Amino acid sequence: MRCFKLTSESEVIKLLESEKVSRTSKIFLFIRRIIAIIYMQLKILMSYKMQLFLDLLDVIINVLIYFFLAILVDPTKLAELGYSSDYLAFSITGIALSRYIWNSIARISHRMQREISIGTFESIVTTDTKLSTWVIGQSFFGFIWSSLWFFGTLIAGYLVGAKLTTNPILITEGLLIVLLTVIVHFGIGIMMAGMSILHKQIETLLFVFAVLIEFFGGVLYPLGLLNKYPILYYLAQAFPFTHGLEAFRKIMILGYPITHPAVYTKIFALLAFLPIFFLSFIVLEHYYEEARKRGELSSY
Amino acid sequence: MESYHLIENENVKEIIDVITKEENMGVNTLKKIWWVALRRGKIRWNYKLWMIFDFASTIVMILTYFFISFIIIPDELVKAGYTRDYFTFALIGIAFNHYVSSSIRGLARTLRFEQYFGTIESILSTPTSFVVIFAGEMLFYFMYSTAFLISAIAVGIVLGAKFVITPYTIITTIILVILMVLSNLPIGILSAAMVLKFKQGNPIAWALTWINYFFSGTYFPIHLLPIQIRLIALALPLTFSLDALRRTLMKGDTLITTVVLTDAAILMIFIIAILPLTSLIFKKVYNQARKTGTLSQY
Repeated sequence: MRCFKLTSESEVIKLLESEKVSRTSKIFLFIRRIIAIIYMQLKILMSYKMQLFLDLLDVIINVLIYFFLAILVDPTKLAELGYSSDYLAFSITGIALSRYIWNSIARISHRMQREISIGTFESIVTTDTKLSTWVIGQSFFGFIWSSLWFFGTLIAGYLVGAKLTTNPILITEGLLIVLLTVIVHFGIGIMMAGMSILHKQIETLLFVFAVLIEFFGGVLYPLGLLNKYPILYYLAQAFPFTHGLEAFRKIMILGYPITHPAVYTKIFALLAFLPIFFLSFIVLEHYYEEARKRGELSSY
Repeated sequence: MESYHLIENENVKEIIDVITKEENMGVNTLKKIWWVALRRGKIRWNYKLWMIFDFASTIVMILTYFFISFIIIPDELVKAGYTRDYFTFALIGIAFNHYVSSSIRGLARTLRFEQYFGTIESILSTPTSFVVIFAGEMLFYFMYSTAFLISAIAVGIVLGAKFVITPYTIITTIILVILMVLSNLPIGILSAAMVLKFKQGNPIAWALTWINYFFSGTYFPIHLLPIQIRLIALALPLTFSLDALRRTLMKGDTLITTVVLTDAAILMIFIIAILPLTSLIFKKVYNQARKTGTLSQY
């Protein structure tokens, strides 16, 4: 592990710039570069203590809002719609996963847009490090940071009384669903990041995507209620997030194993969206090349 | 009103001239405020898509609570003194909370924006007083938020929200909205001062938006909160604003009803006690930034 240890910013820069690398250590260098980018981001983040405090406040207030809203919810109606009678568990699993996905996706293009606007993006892509390596590094950090929010929300919810499974096997299965959901959405994030190189102000699109995920994913209300409006119901099925959240809730709230039909059908639906992940790198490279040809890498 | 209008094809440059040129010093202050608001409006108009998405996201939020209302037991709403209609309850909370936060945060957001792009010093060094410029900015945000509020309520009505609309409730609502804005204005002024002082977004406004969402009873009646937490709720002007507005629009109460009148009186106390204090703080921070030459640092 010693070789993964980084001591200073200059070492990070040296790692991103280094050109002469033997073939055998290429993979090793790739991992070190990813860690270097995460380290750099952590250093930046730790200098924003106020932001950390506000994020913590955000988690606590979110959980408390749904704790009190749960008092108003009719548990029988919720159970009739295919969940347990615990609205707190229902809502915090929804907001934890939706925010996790949204933060991770948004982060990739936010970072890229920021580097472009402060004029450092061109310098980054002219280093020996491939654009996709840089994006993966940024994303890994984004996922690590969002994970704190995700687990923080679930733990805070559990502490105030949300009935979530404590079975380690089911928790592991739940995390596998989260991982699969993340991989699918990671692809969407990379595509949007690619688009932001050329089309710049992509924030609006990200914003819409977050809102749509929250509404059609049934983050705060049971999807069964959409049955009254078939168009909305079918639209909801077109979002990979809907399937990921449904499977995650069945495991974490109802305690269904991954082999239960209600879970594995959702996993199959989620897998159908997996090609997005592979397609995303092609889209990223396409937009990058296009921006390079037009000389718009540093314009914002 | 004719003189306040700029014809469609006129350039933003003309508006800038009004606030920057010495010979325009004699121009009516109200006209300047209007033109500053118009300048902001023209800038915003360039981001039409953003405006549409901003509106769409609130509509989606209203739709979400429309669906949540199907699984709500309204007994607690009745205990709190409202009707049994949770959707109308949540709609009033979401729409008016958005109104307050977007109009109040506008000032700090504009300041930060000008600071970040290095234009704040140029704007504040024009012969036009910063009070006039900020009043113009605020005017735009209030107009924008009002249009937003009316549209949100219209969408709510289409979805089945039930409002008591009479001449008396309309007058009461207008008075309550004015009191709500003035009593929440200190938060906006304070966060603008924070932006000048700490060169950061506006953490105070951001945190207070979330605190308002939780404590002021946007989604649930505040009597559900434990007594100790309820004390924090009672320290927020939005709690009284939302209570009075809900009683007016859901039940048809007016300013002659004791509860609504009490809420309005408390809002007046907030305005008289806190508004001058925060204005003083802002002035102090602004003068300090001018003296130390840090206005344009970001």
